Amino acid sequence: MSNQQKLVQSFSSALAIAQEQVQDLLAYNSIPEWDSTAHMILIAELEGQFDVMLDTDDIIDMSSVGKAKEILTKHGVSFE
Amino acid sequence: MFFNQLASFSGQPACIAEGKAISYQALSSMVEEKVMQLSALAPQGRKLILLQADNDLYTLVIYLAALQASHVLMLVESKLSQDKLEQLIERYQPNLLITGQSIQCLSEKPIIMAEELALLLSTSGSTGSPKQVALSQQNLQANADSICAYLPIKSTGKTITSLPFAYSYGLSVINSHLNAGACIVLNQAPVTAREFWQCFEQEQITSIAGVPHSWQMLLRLGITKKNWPHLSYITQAGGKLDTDTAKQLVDYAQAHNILFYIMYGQTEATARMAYLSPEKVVTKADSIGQAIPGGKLALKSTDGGWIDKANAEGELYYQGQNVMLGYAETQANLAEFKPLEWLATGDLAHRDNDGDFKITGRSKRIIKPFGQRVNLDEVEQKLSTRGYQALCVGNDSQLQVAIVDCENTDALKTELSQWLQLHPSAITVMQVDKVPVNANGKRDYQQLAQMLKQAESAVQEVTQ
Repeated sequence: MSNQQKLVQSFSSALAIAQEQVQDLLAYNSIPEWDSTAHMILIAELEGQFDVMLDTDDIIDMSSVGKAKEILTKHGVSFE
Repeated sequence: MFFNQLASFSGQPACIAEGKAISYQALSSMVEEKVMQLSALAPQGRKLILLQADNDLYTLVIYLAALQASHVLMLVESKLSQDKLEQLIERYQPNLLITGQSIQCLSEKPIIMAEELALLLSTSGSTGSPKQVALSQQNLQANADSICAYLPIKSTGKTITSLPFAYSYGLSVINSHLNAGACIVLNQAPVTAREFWQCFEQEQITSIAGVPHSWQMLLRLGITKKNWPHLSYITQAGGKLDTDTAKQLVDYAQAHNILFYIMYGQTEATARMAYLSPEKVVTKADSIGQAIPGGKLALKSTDGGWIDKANAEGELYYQGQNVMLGYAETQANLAEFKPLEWLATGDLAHRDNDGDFKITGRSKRIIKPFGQRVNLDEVEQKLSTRGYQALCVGNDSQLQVAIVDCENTDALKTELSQWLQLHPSAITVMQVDKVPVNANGKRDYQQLAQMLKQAESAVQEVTQ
């Protein structure tokens, strides 16, 4: 599975939304499903999926799908 | 009362809204103006007002104006869905609906409401249950006074809203701060957002309130790795902290010289009923301590007698000026209330040799996965109105539903998740042939729990 697919799957399962809804522009708090609880589930999901440790700044900066990619890239995950 | 004496704190900051400080004097003037605006609307005199509350200045002003003018306010969370809001409107026929800063007149018909009635709060925020806890102005004032007597809320203190305005715990933070002439930073962002932390540092917040789920999130965010010299105390209520979370918070509080208050309460008691003295958190963080100033806790045995001796389990009862007027389920219930002598909390507890109480169980069937209050009987009723035979059990991490003749359990799970506003990972729906009953023909929850356990271990074996 590609990293892009893994990312889409993580968002889809953590936020309980359809995979098609997972677009780069999808933002935190813009849909009811992405609330603080789902956000923390998402963090755990991404950490497990990509084997990374996210710190405070990563967690509070993850304001959209695109931003999540940026943060994961910083941790050595490639989305090419 | 705190909502009438705002101007006495004159130039002190009452709140900070969108970065701007509002003095008590200024807040008092805004409230006065709102009182006039509300009184010009029909019907004349007291009105029933339904307000979708946010942690913002508009909500605060409406709230205080309604109290000052002796209207009756029903507070609901702003994220309450449209259909649940409509159900409430149908049941209570409020005169005004205030939502998103606009006032709609729904009914000009005067409503017969008990003189002492001031506020209606939901017994469960998420399911939008029409059942409301009815509170008086005296209830609010008494609880604010008690809280100010044990929490170190100084007039120079500054807190940040971290819980919903319409939630009794969140509201008690507002009331007690206004009572003490302290400052409230009106924040809408969740603790997981950068805005929250920017605000927290910039405003030099001195206290934070949280339910177990908020503290779990805060710990995961790494708050214990930071040092905030301005933070002087933290409070926790709204359910029992798990041992690990409690220990981390106790260690953090000790290392940074922060007072940590573990508290206990219910909306039925306006908010607070008990708190643990912060010097005891190191040795007994699993205890709720003793009754708040002005209140009284007691234990009743199953045969109805009061329990005097230590270390014996019984149902926890509370007495104090903050005990609600009663429940309401329709508009007609608002006309009259019969005062309760004691509030039965529905929690089981015992008292240790120091006189501190410890919750040992719950007699009401309520669970709180992800901090979301779920009444298991309400879920069963909901499923039964949908034509299903179902039983629900659960704990503070999972809601478990056993259902007969359900074609699509995944679809049902999604539906329950939306209705309860509960993350689907906290819901299990299992298809069963028939609902387990015991020898007396009653629903057998123990057998169900057993069945679910077996199903779970079978799944684990397959995946291994």
